[in-house]
Amino acid sequence: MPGKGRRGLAKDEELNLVPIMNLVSILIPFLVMASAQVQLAVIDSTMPAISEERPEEEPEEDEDPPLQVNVVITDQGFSVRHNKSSTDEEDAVAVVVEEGEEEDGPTVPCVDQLGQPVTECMTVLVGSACDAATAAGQSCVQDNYHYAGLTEELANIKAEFGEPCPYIEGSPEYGNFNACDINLDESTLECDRNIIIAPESAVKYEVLIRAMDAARTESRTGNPSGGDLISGGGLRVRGAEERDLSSGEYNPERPQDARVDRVGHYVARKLCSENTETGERTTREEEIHNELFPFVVIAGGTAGASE
Amino acid sequence: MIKKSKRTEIDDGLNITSMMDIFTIILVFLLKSYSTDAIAVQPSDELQLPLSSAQTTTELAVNVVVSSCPESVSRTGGCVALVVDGEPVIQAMEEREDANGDTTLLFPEDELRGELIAGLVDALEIKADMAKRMGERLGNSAQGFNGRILLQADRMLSFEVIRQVMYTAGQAQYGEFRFVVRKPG
Repeated sequence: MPGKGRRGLAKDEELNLVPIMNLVSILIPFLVMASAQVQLAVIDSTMPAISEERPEEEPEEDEDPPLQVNVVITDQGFSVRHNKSSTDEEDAVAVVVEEGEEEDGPTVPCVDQLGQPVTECMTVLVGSACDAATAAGQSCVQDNYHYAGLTEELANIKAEFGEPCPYIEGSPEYGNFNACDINLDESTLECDRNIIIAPESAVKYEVLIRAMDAARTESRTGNPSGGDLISGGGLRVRGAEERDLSSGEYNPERPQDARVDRVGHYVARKLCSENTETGERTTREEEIHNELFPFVVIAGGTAGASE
Repeated sequence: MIKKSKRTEIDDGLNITSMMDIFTIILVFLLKSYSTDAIAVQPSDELQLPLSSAQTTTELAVNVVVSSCPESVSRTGGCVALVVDGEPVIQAMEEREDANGDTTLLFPEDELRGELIAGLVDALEIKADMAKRMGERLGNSAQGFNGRILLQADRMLSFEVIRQVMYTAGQAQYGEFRFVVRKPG
């Protein structure tokens, strides 16, 4: 019987796959074409602080107001300001951004390719220089803004004055922190992860985007994609025990290495997760890239809109 | 006779089963990677998105596209300066010289009321209205108005243009911005 059946099957004609092949071979080039698109992403930002009136700064009882960092982008470079001062002279004055107020010059001036400070931040190449740049795959407009310097500056400020997030490893509260006790939402627990960027009118959009990258970047070497890269080399921060000291360049006594604890790269973070079946909420840990200032507010400067 | 034909079948018939296997796998892979992005980007010389290290993926929202579109190119139909969800709002930018003698592209004066872009605020208010009614009709907040805007802007535009767009959007109740950027590579 089984032999008979097999013979019967063999007699059947083979499945005619040719039409399907036709279909598939048309679909594949189409899909290949469609999938070769640019990879897109988005950067979140909340409403710019353009308003008819400036919010009145009420004198607060709070001894230790949250860190407020402002970056003004001018045609000279970046001016970084914050409301904390190491001397107690200036008493936690809210930073007011005003265009054209830069008598002292920018805190992070533009640099040329050799690292020398320059006054012109956007160099437009003309003629043969432009042709050469195009041939080398570069733009004719040279961007001299010192993004790495901005990251460095912000990392310093955050390390010196920033409050560590209670839900991010490294804070004193972390051990006792229960993520499910409170409604854990990044906006409710921002803990010095906000920055205000105020570009001048003439600043190019690209500079703003790159400054936002520099403010968010998790690496002091200014390489946003290389989260593990920092000046010490081979250092992956995940609790004190896991530090890779093989490079020999890491020395926690040095201030620039000590701040790695705060600025961090990979750190543990507590989250609240809910079991969909039982509804039980448990705190769990997750390893994240710690970013410097991921929440950017873009201020519109003072031209036109305000006052 | 039967035996003979069977033998020839085996010898001649092209065995495409293994090729089918390969193609099926490729097809499934490509279908999977076929992006159903919320944004349709038509890159051109006038619209070059900036590069960024951001990783957040795109989502559905109102699309506002601002290009560096000088009048000379716009006249030939090469570009449109300001587009909201595929509908043109402002045709061309105006070239103006700043103090240093560089030309910058700005929105034409007559389209502006102070910082407000008149055409954009109208277009966005219609969108907001529609989204709100849609949300009420469906009784579903996810489908309704969320105040989100996807802003695609040319990298060489000056911040003044961006600020005017942001300000106008804010006036039309769109307060959440998503700057669309290109991932490197």
